[in-house]
Amino acid sequence: MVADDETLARLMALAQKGDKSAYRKLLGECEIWLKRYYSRKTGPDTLDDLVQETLMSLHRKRASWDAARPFLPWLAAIARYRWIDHLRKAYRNKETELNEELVADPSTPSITAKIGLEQLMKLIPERQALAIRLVKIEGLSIVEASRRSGQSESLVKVNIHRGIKRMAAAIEG
Amino acid sequence: MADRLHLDALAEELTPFRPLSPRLAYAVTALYLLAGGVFVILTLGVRSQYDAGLTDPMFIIRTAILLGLGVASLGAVTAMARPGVGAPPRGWRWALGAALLIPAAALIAALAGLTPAASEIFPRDGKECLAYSVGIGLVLGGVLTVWLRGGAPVSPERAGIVIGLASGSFGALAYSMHCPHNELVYVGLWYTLAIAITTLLGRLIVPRFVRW
Repeated sequence: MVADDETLARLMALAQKGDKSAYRKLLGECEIWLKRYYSRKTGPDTLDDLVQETLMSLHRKRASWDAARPFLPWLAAIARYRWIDHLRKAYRNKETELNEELVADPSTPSITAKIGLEQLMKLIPERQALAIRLVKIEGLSIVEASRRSGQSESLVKVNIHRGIKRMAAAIEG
Repeated sequence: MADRLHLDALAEELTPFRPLSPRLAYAVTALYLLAGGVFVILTLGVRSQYDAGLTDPMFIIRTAILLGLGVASLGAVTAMARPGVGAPPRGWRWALGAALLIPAAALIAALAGLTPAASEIFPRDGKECLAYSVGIGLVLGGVLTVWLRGGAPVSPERAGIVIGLASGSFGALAYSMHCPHNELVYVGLWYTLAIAITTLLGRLIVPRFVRW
């Protein structure tokens, strides 16, 4: 069972005073919470990396927690930021490979990550969702996506860029 | 096991730390605004219409709007430094909407021929207004960016916009200690342009420095 907000806030308040044992306990609780949080958003292939990165961010940005506010919304905001950053990096990596033939492997665990992505794509215009779906999920090249969607190659790139940006904005609130 | 060791190592690094203080950002901005105003007065002099200007409606409206936009934007900067899921600060949007009434009114008045627009532009003074407002604003923007780097803004682009708005508003407010003009078109054009420039620069430059 994950500790409640009050307990986490108390541990963090002790950590502010330099209590290493309280901080270690807090990190452990946050790790459990983050695993749950990301398991609904991403696949097991990236879950551990995201949890690690977020814990590192929590550590580096610990001074940004306001003791007058609840702890979990702060942790959730950091987790969301790392997730968006992860999506951006994944998109950039794809972009560098755009000239190559990309074929999605439906058997990979990242299938689960697509569920979260599909939910997000309901928030953006269809033409942007289509471009992202074809290139990001189905793994088509820009040329193929252009042929399939009827959009020009540059429009496919623009729609992917804008779509990712909109999704990020939607997540960031 | 590696995971456990990793968390142990993080905990071992811990030393007592102070939470990020928004008061510091407010205090530094207030001091800087004061210094900016003194700098403007020392280099350019006090408003030539100062006696009348203190009670001039445009001077009062302009000061209130610049102060309102600056404070609301600075509030958004400090809120962004300490993230949390929930409603993000929106006060700066309302303040910006109010501030845009000035250029909108100036445009309408000019288009409707209600005011002699061409004779109210004063390009030489306007360029001085831009140089001082943007120059003072950019230094403040740099200071706020350095402060925000200690926080955890989850929307670097929006952080750049609000830093640009705050620094431009306070830069223009400092310059307005000298500004001899109260004409609607002048204020609507040059003050808006100064804030627009710092906001654009903030949007373009700040995100790369506050990403984490």
